[in-house]
Amino acid sequence: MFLQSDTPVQLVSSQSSSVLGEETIVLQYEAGMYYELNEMGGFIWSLLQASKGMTVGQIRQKLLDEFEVDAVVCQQELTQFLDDLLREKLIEATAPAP
Amino acid sequence: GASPKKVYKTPRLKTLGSVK
Repeated sequence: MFLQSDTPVQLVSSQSSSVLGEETIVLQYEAGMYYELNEMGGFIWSLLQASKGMTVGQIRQKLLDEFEVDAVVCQQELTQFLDDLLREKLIEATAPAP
Repeated sequence: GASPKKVYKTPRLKTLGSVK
């Protein structure tokens, strides 16, 4: 699925995570896989934990508000990261509201 | 007076392994 700014994303139910130092460890039950998110990945993960159905654009704005980053770089790297999470079935994207 | 922004790093997902 192509992620757009107004695409809502949320964590799948078949996962569990724990913060370990600066990293976040995530277990995906269904696939039986576990992963590590770096500090920035963990920050995005915490946003998704706090708000179900947050859009890609809302996440991007949070990053721009809190971090010193170019808007274009932020958009590209956030989209790549969310694509990775989607591929590993750690998040799911739903159709934007009409 | 605005709080300084934090240092940005590229968000990364690393596969650690399979429980199976």
